[in-house]
Amino acid sequence: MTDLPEQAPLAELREFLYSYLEGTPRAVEAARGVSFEVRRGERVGIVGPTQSGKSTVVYALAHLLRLKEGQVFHEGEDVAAAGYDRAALRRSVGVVFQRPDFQILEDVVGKDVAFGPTAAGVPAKETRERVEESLEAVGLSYPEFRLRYVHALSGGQKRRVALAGVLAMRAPLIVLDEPMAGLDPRGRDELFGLFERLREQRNLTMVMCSSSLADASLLCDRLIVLEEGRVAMDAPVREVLAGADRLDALGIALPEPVALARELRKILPDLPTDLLTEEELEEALLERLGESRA
Amino acid sequence: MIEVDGVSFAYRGGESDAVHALRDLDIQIEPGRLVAVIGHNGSGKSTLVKLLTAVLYPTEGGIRVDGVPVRHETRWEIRSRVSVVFQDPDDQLVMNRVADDVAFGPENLGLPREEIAERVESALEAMGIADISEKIVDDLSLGQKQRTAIAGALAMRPRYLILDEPTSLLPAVAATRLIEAARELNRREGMGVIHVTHSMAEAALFDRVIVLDTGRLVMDGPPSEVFRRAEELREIGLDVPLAASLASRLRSHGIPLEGDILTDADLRKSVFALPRSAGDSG
Amino acid sequence: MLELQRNVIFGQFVDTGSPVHRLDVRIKLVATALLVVASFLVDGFLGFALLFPLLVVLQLVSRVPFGYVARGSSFFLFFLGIILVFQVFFYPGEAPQSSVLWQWGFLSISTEGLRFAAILGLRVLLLYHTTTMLMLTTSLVDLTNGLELLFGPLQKLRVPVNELVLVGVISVKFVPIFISEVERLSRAYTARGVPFDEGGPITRARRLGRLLVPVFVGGFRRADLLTTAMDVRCYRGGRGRTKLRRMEAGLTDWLVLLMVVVWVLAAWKLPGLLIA
Repeated sequence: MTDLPEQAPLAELREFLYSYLEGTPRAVEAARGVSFEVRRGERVGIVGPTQSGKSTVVYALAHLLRLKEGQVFHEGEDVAAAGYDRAALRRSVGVVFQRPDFQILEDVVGKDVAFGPTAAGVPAKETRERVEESLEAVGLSYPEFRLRYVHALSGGQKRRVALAGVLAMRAPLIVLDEPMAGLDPRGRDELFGLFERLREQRNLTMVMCSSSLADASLLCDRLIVLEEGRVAMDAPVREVLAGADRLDALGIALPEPVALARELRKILPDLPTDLLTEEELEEALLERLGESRA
Repeated sequence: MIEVDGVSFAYRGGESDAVHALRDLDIQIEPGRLVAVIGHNGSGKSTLVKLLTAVLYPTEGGIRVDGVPVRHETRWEIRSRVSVVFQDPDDQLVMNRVADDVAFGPENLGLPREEIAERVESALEAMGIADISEKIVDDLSLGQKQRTAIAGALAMRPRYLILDEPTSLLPAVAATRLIEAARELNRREGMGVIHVTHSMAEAALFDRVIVLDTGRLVMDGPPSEVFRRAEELREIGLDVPLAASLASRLRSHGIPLEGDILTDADLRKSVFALPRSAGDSG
Repeated sequence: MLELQRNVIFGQFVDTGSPVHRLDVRIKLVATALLVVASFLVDGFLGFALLFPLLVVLQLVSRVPFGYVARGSSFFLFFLGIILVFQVFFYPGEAPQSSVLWQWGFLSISTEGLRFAAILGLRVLLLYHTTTMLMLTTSLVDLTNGLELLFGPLQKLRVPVNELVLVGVISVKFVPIFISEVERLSRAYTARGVPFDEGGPITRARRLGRLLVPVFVGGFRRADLLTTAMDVRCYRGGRGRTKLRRMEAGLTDWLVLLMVVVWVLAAWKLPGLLIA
């Protein structure tokens, strides 16, 4: 690498290619040359229709696939190079999976959150502190939940425990696979609040893949839109939303305010579509409807 | 006509740790209607679906479908009248070729081969997947799998089709197309559609909206009435379609929008109908 | 480990539309059964050498890539290898001292032992290859229909043929489901610092053991969903079921069967005749 480590992006994909079941008649091309960088402190959302390669890209960042050399880099280093310390990579990239049942390894909440730090050789006292801090950070009270059995928790609580287990690793990069999928509006709102708080409290770098553009645009600063294993758009959130017609053509569900603004553009052609909330749309409409009435 | 009469249901009923999923539910659904059922997780929606398809039976009260009481002995009769499509197609496609999977239900009914072939063909046609009938299910996209699952339900020629959150895994474009297809079937064949969903925008497209909360029926009426009660809906963790809530915000700013506004198109029409000076700013 | 599906082909169906795929399923089942019987009857290297070209023809005509089958069989071959090594060392037959090549305590290698293990290996390989090819080239529907028709007469003896066949076929369908669950789980575990792609075989096996509970919980959850879905589509254990697909065995089908019969007979009887 010619870059100095401190200048190198935290994570980077270069012309990343990947096929599942490679070498079998059922091979599926998932990534066909994906390139992007993730800088420290950024919150990047990867969106696209189903089977556009979102999860594949996310798994690649944590080296959870059979990777080839020269495609995936972490702090400027090729993670597939011979002799690269994969265990260290997995300590610095925390992954939150869609189904918490699959990543919770222990039967008691406290033990599970401690699993990562203990495996990484963190001293017992510090591990305990980290467990407490991580549980509190995800909104689960440490004294109340430390000794609870995981199987007796609700779906939303399990998600929090899984997230706490990742936070306890103090990984500089957190990768989330469909964090909102399967939640109802209430569960969704709770998780949004939680991410907002984490975003203010800690300077986390986050990469998440989501089939919901609405969720990703509220949680992220920058969006990468994938289409059939290629990058179709890579820009700050509002810039991506401004291209509502293009997103629609890609088969991506638009966030409600964007979809409504697009419908209203048929009669109000100058109405913008780079709107995140109902309030923004209200304001834009009042500007156009209200003034002329006043 | 589906008649749900004083129905309660508890998992592990009678035991100390019984979980009450539905309480004293009364619902009448006339044949050929488009009904949406909304509620958050744990509201009892999925239990209701299982009761209507004779997978579970009420702990108290009774259900009748076209006059036939839902009981263990009548379950095949009930299931030939009420078909259901579940959320994840991967958990319900049985056979590995599209046409074979669609034929699975009619085959179970013991129909003659010619009739099975005809039903499979028309179900594939209705879902717009006739061209992939010989494909292997594993090789399809999620949307195509979901259409295959629905075609499988249609091939049963049910009087009522229940869609149990089949759109929650699909992008909105595909979801909208799916609902269009359901409406078309309703119009053409008079088949009743009961759509269970999280999406308020989807619910607004139906004739009637039933709202469940913690096992109780809390609202039941045309979408224009149900979504007028925005505050109550928000209290139970639900919402109203964005167009409806935005319309009420704009009205409170003195913009005289006319008519019931539920969908994006409704709002566009009302804005367009505003006095000339207001609508004509672009 | 992270992509287990590449290494397991059991329960997969690879649709290449080849003549093997199009063969009448009853003929295919009978031919497979013949080859299974042959694997027990044939008892000599010459016999297996005669059958070998038949398998090559089957593999080539089916257009299922050999590399795929070979990689998909690696687990199986690994275990077969271990078993054969044990067979060699613990060969119980009374080997004349002259044939013992190496001895250490009760472990010995004799020419008899080697021959025995080699024939056993060939038998198992023949058995494995023919049944695997049957599954790879036959869709679930064809398999059910064919088995039901072949075993239909047993129904008169009150054997619940339809139920048994469908239960069997559905369990085959579950193998890939379980495998994909293992894959997802091992990915999640790897991410938490329990790497599945590192460590020796024993470490890996121990880690695999920890996966079993969640895999089975996940697998059974999906099995439950599938049976409910079948239930609501009026599946009553095959009673009164009719079929969309018609089956007709043509001249080609019978010729193929004839060819397999002759080939198997030749492999069984010819070596004896040649020696006599």
